[in-house]
Amino acid sequence: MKTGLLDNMAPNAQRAFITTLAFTVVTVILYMFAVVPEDEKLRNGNARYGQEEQNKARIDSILRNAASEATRLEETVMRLSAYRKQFIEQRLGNYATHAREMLDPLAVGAGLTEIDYPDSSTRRLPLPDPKMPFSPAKLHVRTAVRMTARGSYQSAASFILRVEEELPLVSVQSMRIAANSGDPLHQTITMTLEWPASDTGPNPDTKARR
Amino acid sequence: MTTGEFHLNMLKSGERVSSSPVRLRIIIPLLSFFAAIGMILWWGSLFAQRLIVQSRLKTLAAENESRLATEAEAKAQHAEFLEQASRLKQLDGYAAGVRRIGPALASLAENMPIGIQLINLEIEEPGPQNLRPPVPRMPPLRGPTNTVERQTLVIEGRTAKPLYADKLKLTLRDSSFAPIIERLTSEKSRLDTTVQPKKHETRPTLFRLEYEMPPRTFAAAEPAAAGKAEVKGK
Repeated sequence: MKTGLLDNMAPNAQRAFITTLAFTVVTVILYMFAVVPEDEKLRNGNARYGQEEQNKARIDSILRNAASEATRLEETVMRLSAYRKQFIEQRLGNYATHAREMLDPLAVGAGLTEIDYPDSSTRRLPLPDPKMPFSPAKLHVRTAVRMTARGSYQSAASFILRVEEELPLVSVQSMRIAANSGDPLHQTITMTLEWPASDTGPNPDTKARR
Repeated sequence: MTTGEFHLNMLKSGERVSSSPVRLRIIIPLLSFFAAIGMILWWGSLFAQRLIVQSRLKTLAAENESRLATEAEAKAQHAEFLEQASRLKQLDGYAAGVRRIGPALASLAENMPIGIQLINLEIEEPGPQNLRPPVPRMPPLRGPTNTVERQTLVIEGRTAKPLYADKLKLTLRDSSFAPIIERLTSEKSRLDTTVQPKKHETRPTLFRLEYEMPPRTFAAAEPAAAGKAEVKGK
């Protein structure tokens, strides 16, 4: 006849065995279904808290720099504005009209005659920082207006001196002073003067006829 | 009649040799009980910690949330600053590349040797810009990456004696011509066949001098350059 495990035990030992078994089962259940999930939740909570702390540090850093950056932005905008005052602008769909307004008084004062502004062209300015991933949404170009006139070499030199004095951002891109065989005192002067300008066209490397 | 002595031994053999006065049937259930209690305390500790972390997390998240708008403004300001600073850098580069040739041209008029008739003075147009992307099948660049631009100055004239042309070359070595002249790259001369010389006169010589001009460098200039422009713009 088969006898169970408990049958061979004294009643005290049976009680001890059952009690031990019950507490062990309770301990295991507590560990598996309470401690382990709670520990997992705590880990997740700590991780999220760490992320939020990082966010806080990042926001703090951004806000700390924001005040000084606002000042620097203001200075930058002021300097840009100073440059923009000297830009050449499109008037009536061309740059020559604005160039004429600026240059005619200087050219006439220098003694040039038969002044004309036949065409204009643009060249790109080098990228601010080709190696940097950041590129501004709007760039600037070098807008050049070609000017033809007649006058002496001295008049041409005087005109350029006046332009450089009055318009400090204007540069002579190219120039030709050619003698006239029939009139040795008056040369044919062709000059391409360039200004900075806002990049407005999709393809600035094309020449625009007036 | 004598009665025998009756002795019931209830100790097990293992218990008889144990040094502990408390028996295993008492100790083991107690230990398992304490293990269960310990487990409850462990869970309670974790639960309490979680409640504290959750509470702090909620406060911190709410604080960060409340500053999101300010952060967005600061980010937008930063992006705006980068944009404007980049534009300014490009214009500073342009200002650095502005070439002043007026004084040199005026000086040339004053120092031109007698005996030379200037036929042509030309600053040739700069070469085409390279807007090819570094990687094929990409759109053209929005601007060249090369910041240096080189040009050539050509001086053509007529002289009765080649000596005057040499004198002109010597004159052009003066530092006052540095803004327009870097080095002589080509020199040609030939007799002028278009003019018939008078009797006892030598046939005039046509000469052509080609000079490499100092490069225009469109690199970001010192703040002083923009400052100068600012003063002028006011």
